[in-house]
Amino acid sequence: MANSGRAQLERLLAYLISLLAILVTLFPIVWLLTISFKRQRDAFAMPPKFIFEPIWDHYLSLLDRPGFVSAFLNTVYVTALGVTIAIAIAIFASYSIHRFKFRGKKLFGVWLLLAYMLPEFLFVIPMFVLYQRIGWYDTHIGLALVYQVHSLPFAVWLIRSFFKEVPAELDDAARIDGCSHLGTLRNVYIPLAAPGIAATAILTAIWIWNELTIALSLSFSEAQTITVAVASFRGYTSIAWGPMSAASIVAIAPMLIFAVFAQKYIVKGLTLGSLKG
Amino acid sequence: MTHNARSQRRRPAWLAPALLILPAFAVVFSIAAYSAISLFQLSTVDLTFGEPFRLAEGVGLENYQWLLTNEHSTFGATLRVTIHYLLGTLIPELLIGFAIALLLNRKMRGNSLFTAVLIIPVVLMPSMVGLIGRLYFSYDGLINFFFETFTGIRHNWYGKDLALWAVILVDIWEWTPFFILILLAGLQTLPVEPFEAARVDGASRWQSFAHLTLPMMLPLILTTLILRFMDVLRLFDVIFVMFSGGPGTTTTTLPLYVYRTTLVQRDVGRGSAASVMLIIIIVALTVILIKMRERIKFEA
Repeated sequence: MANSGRAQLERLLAYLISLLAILVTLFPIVWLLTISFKRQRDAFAMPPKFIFEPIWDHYLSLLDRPGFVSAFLNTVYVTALGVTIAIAIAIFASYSIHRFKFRGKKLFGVWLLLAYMLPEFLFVIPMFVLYQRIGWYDTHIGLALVYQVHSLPFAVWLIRSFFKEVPAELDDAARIDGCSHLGTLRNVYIPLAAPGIAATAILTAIWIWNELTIALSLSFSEAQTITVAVASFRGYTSIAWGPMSAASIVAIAPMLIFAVFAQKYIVKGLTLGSLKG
Repeated sequence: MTHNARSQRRRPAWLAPALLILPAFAVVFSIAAYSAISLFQLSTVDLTFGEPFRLAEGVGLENYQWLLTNEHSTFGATLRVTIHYLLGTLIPELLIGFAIALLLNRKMRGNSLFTAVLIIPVVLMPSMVGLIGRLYFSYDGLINFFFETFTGIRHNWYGKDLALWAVILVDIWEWTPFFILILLAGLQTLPVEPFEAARVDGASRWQSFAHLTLPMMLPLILTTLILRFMDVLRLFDVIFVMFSGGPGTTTTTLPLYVYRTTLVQRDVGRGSAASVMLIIIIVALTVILIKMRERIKFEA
């Protein structure tokens, strides 16, 4: 009896803690959302104002802000390009690592891991010099390509762990039926690992969408991305918090919607990556 | 079918795997190797950012020597800040994350809502997290509002003493959910039988935690720590947007140091030398961590 009382108490505690965790996590973002609808004097009223007259001005001002709309479109383009390159290449590499035994396989894995871990900033100066020379500075393809140093190892790592879950019998059956390697990949691995591949694509997209360092250094105007546009609101003297909050909300909305809808796959992606790394 | 079999016999066995892996290898290897080599080359010259390379003057390893021994070099301070940041974030994130994961490891309503919310900071744009941090930690900000309400004192979070702590608190807010999500998923895949056997044998809850849960979770805990560890060593956006490494050098971690030396002080040589040392530190630490993890996996 005492035991079940204690279990009840723990249950209550568990609910309370999750509620607290949800509040602490959401509050700063919801608060930012309200600031994006507030007049400046409401935004910084002390004590904080929870009831106010909402305005759309900050969002409308984004349309007139030079470069903001094009930065958003640039990001869509660079992200799509980067994800396509990463997934297309990673599928073949993952199959190779999963399916074959060959010399240098372990070395290749270590090399990928190292490339993945290097801070983005290390690529900036060398790639800046190279891109100035070949004319890829401030281009979409230039950005999408540098992102591969991080996205490609991640994609190979994750897709391979999804390939491991494909039953070996199906692979054997396809081979007996006379499928070539490419045929086995197309008819067995890709369809069965499709949810995993989708999760990988989403996580890769989120990373590219959010990346600041490389975008800041290797793009100027033509290919400027949304993170740079949002960061450009920052100044030392004063920050226009209203428009800045509106810009932030617009910038995070696509990936947030993506993440909430695909949450099951994302958690699986995050955990699979770490469980079977 | 016979055609297929014959054509496969004719091709050497290494050809298929090599061809499949080639594009990935070519892209990653060419960019990473080119960058590493050119960084090393730049680290041995004296060059101002923006000047053409032909003006560069070879100085051998002087840049490294300057960074490590000169009294005006803040490289040592940068290392201390980085270590402070690593310990200040990873320890609380792991402890709070694991504690919450343990508490929530039961059948509960609203689990998917919980996951959906906790995933938000993980996918949030880091530069925006930096802006949020700047907003909340400002002198008239919400954090100070709470401090004033409960303790009567406002703190200057932008100042020398607290800036690093402000950045650390933002990191804890952003990444504790990541630990909760991964460790909770790990706890839910643990086998049930050992725990039942332990209960039948009359083991206390503490005993079954110390002798079953903890050892079984250790590899996952270490992997999560390694992932986060690498992230922290790469971290740039949040600190850059919040404080740009300042005031002074109080929030200058290694990546920020490379940025400030190369692009703010425009000293390409020293910036590249710092980059090369950062690469060496990362490679060394990763090898150690992976070896450690392999040993624990083997023992568990």
